[in-house]
Amino acid sequence: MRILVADDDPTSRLIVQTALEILGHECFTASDGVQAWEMFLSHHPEVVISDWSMPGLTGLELCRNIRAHEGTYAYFIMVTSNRTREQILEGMHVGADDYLIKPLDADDLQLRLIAAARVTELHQQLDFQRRELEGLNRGLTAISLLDPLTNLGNRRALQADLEMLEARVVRYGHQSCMALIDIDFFKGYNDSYGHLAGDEVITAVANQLKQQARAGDAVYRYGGDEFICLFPQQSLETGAIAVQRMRLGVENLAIAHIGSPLGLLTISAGLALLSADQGKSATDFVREADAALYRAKGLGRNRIESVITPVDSLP
Amino acid sequence: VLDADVLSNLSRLGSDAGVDLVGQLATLFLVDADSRVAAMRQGLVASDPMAVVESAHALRGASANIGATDLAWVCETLELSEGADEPENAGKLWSGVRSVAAELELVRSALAARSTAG
Repeated sequence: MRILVADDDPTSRLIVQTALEILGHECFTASDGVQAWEMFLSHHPEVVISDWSMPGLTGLELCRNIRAHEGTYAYFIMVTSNRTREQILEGMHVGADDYLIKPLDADDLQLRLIAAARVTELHQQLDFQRRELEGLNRGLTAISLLDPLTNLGNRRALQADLEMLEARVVRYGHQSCMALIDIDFFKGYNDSYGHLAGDEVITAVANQLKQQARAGDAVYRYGGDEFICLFPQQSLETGAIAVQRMRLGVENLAIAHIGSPLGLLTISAGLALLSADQGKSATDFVREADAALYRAKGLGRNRIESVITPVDSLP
Repeated sequence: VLDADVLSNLSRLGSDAGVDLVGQLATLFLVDADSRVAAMRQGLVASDPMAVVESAHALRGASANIGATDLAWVCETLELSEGADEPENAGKLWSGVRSVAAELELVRSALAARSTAG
């Protein structure tokens, strides 16, 4: 094991160091508490054997620092020349794992190190498992926020991002734009070409939306053939420019759709604005976009509408 | 003056490690002990009883390590002397430090005798 020995008495350091080296341990020594703390940070020992009273930083303070420090557990053995129960208790309470009483006895030290090796090993296993679990959890969280068909963020991701966006709008007085988009005559497409082809079309539209989105914009699959785009810190007008590009992009894919009057697969979109002064919630925001989308459908599809004003006046 | 059991344990440890541990400890100890006694005297002159007590504590630990049991005991008496910070007890501290210094000389001779014998 890698062992840090902290003691201001050179005879104690030499005895412990000699005993440790016979046992095959790697040993670092510090002659005061401050140096011990620095060596702890730079050498990452697995075991610390520290005297109770040292200049600079006492053994108790050193132990407290080590316990407050993140990272792999270090087994701490407190060495004291006072056999008082109170002092040993205090040391154990602060976080020492074991104690030795001076004068140092090499055989005694060897016995303590057997326990130290066992506990250190357990902590290393725990650390390894914790890191593995953290990695798995991160992976699972990422997966749980993705739509498996399109790899877009799913409804759960939207929910979380929308709440964050709403909080930002309220706090900083930004405005933000949202588009609810769906595929025109999608039911007809499924009926004509089958559900597998329907899935392919959803994926193609998703890719097109992603491709046309700018950095900072976010695209989610809301459900079925419905998508939501969030345009943080954007007005209805700038949001509309982005969505217009998306609509044209899908049209230019030129996917045949016999159920559509154009003979092509197209999308419609409803836009809504979230701003601090309107006192709207995230739910109102989606409801407004939905109403605008309904309007776009009523006005002939392959177009963009907002509830307030028609914004599909762009080419 | 020196505890034979402690010394034989140390020399066994040293021979396991292939070093003259007792010789090395004796050298370290004497240098350290001289500076501790000097610090005690300075504490007396400067009317700083805490410095005396702290040095006595440090020297007690080192003495016990090398088996200088009597010296350790004299140091402990000085370290734990009641009312060390009361001015009227200054005389007690002075005589305590004198005992420590006298006992240290006995240890020095015993260590020297041991090294010439060994």
